[in-house]
Amino acid sequence: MNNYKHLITDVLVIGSGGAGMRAAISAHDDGAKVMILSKGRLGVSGSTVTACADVSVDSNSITKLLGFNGDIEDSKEKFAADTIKSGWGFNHKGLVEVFVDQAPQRVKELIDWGAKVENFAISPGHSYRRAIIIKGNNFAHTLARQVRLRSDIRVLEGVIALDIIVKNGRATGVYAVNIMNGEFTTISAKSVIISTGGAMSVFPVTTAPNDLMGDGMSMAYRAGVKMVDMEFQTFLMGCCSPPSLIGNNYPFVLMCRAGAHLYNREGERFMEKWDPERREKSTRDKIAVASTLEILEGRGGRNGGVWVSVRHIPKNLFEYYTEWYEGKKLGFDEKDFLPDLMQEGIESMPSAHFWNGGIRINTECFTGIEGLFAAGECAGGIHGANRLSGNAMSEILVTGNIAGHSAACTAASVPVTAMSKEEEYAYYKKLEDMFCGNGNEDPVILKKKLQQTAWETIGPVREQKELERAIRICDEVENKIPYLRCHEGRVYNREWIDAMSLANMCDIIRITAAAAAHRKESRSSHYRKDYNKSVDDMFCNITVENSNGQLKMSNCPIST
Amino acid sequence: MKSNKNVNIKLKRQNQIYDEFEVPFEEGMSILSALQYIYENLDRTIAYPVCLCRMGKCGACIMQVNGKAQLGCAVKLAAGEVYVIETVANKEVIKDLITR
Repeated sequence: MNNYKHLITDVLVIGSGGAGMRAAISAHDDGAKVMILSKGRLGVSGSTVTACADVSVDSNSITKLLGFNGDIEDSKEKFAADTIKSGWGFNHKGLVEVFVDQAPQRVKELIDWGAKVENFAISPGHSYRRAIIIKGNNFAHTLARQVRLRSDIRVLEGVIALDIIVKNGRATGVYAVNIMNGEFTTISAKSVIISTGGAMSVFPVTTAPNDLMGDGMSMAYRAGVKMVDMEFQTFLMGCCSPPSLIGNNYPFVLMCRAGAHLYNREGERFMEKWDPERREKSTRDKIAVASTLEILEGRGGRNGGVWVSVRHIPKNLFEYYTEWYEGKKLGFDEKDFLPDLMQEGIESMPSAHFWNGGIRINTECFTGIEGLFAAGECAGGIHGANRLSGNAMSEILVTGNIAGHSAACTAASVPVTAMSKEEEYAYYKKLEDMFCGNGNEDPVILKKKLQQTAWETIGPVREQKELERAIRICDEVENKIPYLRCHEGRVYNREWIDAMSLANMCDIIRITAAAAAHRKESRSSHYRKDYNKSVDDMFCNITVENSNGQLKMSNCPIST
Repeated sequence: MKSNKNVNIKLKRQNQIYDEFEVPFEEGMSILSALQYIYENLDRTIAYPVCLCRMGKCGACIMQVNGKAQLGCAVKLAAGEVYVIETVANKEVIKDLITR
């Protein structure tokens, strides 16, 4: 009956970014059989490879453990304090303690494995020089090499996990599809680690990979985990024009480091109203909210953005500044695609950059469902309401390692669970039906509709009626899924891949809108036009869970 | 700024055949943004790499353009020009620009 591929493993890792690769390494070294599912190529998939990046470790450990020239006045406690301050106190204290404690060892390991340290810096929000600069692709390739050295780790490239199979309250594997040949693949596992990153590409303009849509977060939600802090996303100013640069963070970099100005259509440097002292060097959340309001209130440009300008900087000074901007990388130069920056501004808008919340985990990276763990950006708690710069890259090593150990430990004591052939057939049939089509709904049009809705409703500026509209639109799109039609073809069918991602996008947008609607106040990057002050009673984490198909929100005291 | 001119993309498909597409020219477009236009508006069957970094550092969009290995995101297109696109040599082609 079921002509699908069936695989078995001990520890299944979903996602091959930094956290996933690190988890696989730990689980393997504990003796588990490990399989990694990657949407793309190992080491060239996910956000990790795109990071710049600063990797944060307390400056005392930079001296004492890593042997560089740090500042011994710093401490793990001070690093934790800065992390919690940045996170508006919403952070899971236990997770933060584990993070600051283990980050030095994890980063030292990465350097011992061959990662190249380019430089050091004091990143915004840090009291000491904690940023170890390691290029994103070097970071990712170092981990990928360690995975490949462990030749019995099975890496399945081009295989997308679709849903977690839960039996009697336990995660027992996943339904998946190999997009290279269209083959449905069911994997039975003793434990599962979700390390699928953020969901920034539910927005139309993002700094993240185009295929990063929060698949793992939505799968986990459907499986019954609690999602936490889902109303907090970090946006930074990215290009909204031309098409080749959409989401590129050059405008943000120019404001931080080249003294660029930010203008609305009336030629006003509008950040003066929001942060008169720092203006364009204000925090990312303030700039995102201010810019979005300017755009929504009609003071933006034809391409939907406001203007980042360096026109006031002398040309020979600007040329000097751009030397530090990574120079010409692999033959790419933003200035090739932009008009003369000495004459014109870059039209820019808030680009979705980081997902602060996610799957709620404890200090063992356990999600609450037996056999299910989460690590990296898809997990929530460490960063609170606003991630501190540089913390993501060291965090993925810490949580990746912990999740790997936890999952291997669980796998050592459970048998593989048999799977139901009827359920499997019913599951995959829905996806096969997209070819013969009971209707003519266009997956690309629906995807763009969801992305545009996300920008309008759960972007940096929110209000009740728009949040309710978001949920209605997601419900409408979800009802159209059985009527989707894709062209026939099982080998790398992008239209089919887009069709299969709609359910995940709907879940992510709905969960975020529900959490944002529940938080009737403004705090950090969550700004409510209708409740624009912060409310003391709302100093709590909002969790969202799937309660018989309904979104259920709860206010939880901040975890210690 | 849109122009009345197009850009001509010749994409290598199965059996060594090149399909031709006329893409409306827009200042600042790249091969990758042109491929996205083709997929969304002209031919949903084309297979091309997902854009990850948007700034030429991840290498995911490497391809051969007019005989030269380039990043699809780094090649700026000119109005009225022809661009012949295929995978870089020595790679097993799964479909169009997607390799193993």
